[in-house]
Amino acid sequence: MSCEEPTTSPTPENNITVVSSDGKEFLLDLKLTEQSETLARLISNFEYDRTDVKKDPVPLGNITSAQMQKIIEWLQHHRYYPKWEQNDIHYSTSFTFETWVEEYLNIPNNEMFELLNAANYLNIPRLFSTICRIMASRITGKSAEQIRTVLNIKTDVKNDVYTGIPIQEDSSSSEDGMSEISLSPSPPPI
Amino acid sequence: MEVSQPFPILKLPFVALWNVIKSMERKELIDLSFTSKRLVTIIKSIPIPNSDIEIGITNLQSSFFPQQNIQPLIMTEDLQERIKHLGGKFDFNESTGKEIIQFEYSKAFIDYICALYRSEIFAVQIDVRIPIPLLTSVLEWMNDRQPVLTSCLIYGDCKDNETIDRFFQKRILPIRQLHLNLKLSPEAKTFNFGILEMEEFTARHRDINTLNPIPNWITVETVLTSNCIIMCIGASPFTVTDLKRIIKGWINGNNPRMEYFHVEVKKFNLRSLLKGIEYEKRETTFERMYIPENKSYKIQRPVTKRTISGGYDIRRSDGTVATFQVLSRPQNPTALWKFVMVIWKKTVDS
Repeated sequence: MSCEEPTTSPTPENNITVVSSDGKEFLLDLKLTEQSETLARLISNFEYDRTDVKKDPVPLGNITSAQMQKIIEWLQHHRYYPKWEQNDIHYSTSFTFETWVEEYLNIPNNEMFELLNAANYLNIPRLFSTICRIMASRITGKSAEQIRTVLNIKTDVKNDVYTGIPIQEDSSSSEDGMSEISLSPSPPPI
Repeated sequence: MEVSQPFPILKLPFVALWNVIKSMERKELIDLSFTSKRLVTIIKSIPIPNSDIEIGITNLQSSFFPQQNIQPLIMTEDLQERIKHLGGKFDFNESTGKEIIQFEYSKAFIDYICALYRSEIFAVQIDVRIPIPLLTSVLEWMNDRQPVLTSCLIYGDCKDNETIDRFFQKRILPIRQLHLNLKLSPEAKTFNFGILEMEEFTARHRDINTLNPIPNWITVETVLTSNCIIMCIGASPFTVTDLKRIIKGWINGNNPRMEYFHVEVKKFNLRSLLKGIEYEKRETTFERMYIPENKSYKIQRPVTKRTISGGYDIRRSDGTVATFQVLSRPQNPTALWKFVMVIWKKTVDS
């Protein structure tokens, strides 16, 4: 088995330990970490792929143990897949997913949001792109009001584009609902 | 599955937000833009892939709609309601015709989509049977709204000349690629093309062979005065005299940027064509290849690679060499002959 949790025993040669925000340790096969550009870069920088280098646990302060479990499930399933290429299929209108992926991502929107953030933080392109496409498809055929509900968008238009009926102005400030702009995930603290 | 929990899209890191938006199909993206002005601003800041905007002007609805893939978006009352609240001003009264109302809504909607994608209209498909007033309005609007149109297709059963003539009379904006795919009536008169100045001009006609008379829909003057890079004309009424004028015209400096010329004609006497022209006959074992410059058009290009085996070389005063050849299909005596001329500017010797 390439992944176990938790472990405190001496780190096996081809594994690294990552620690979730709630303190749980996960032993990760180095082969699996190749799918995460963040982890792969970290392993390369610290030469954790060498047997003579002491491997400290890697804290992942932005990822809970539940999210980490879910991500490991993804990494395991795609262990032998070819390296993800950011090509046109990402934008194809006929982009469909295998049954396993459909079932894997058959989760509530809020969990999907957390998983997308985790995939973005760990830079797992296949998972990240898949969630983006699935989220996009979840608004298909919905009205503006339904989309606002699904995506938690506070309206700033005066009239509903469907009905023309004035929309109740939201009392929150204009910054509310905005996130900090970050172009790449921060490197995990070592 | 629990779906009531929201996915707070605006709380995503910006890169993730970009990717979710870039993953959306056109209709999803437009629907998303209706939800908030902030999202309109965000969408406009993102370079959306495959954002070419095509519109189809059809007779079915007496109006026109932005196309999504092959199926046009239908101008439903629901969509009209949305457009009405996008901020467009519509001054309709009881006497305003349904056709004009639909046209005004369609215009507003296309302008909205173009602004959202920060893009111009890339391609237009026109059903030749659309009402003339609608065609006129569309062309006047297009002339004012953008500097150039990449691809234009005019198709359908052409009962008379009015639509095509009006198109060329009213069209001012340059078109890079124009493709006519028409079914001509035997009584069709000569179209008033004006001066054809575009990169590619193609005209294909259905159901015409040597058994039927070919209508005089185009004259040799249209070719002589044109300034196209690639010109492909199907089922033409051209005679051997016309072909000779085209060859001599090119030698004397007509069609200065022409690279490839293809026309279908009825059988003629090849000896008559060659008489009086200075040429060098090439053996069929001598092969040269024409590859046009790679360009981004919407409509399939009439030629992507052409090998010329043998042919007759002619030379212009500036030294440019062209090769023409006449091709027939012996096993099909009713098929039209093809006259092909390639000007060797960008060539690859095979």
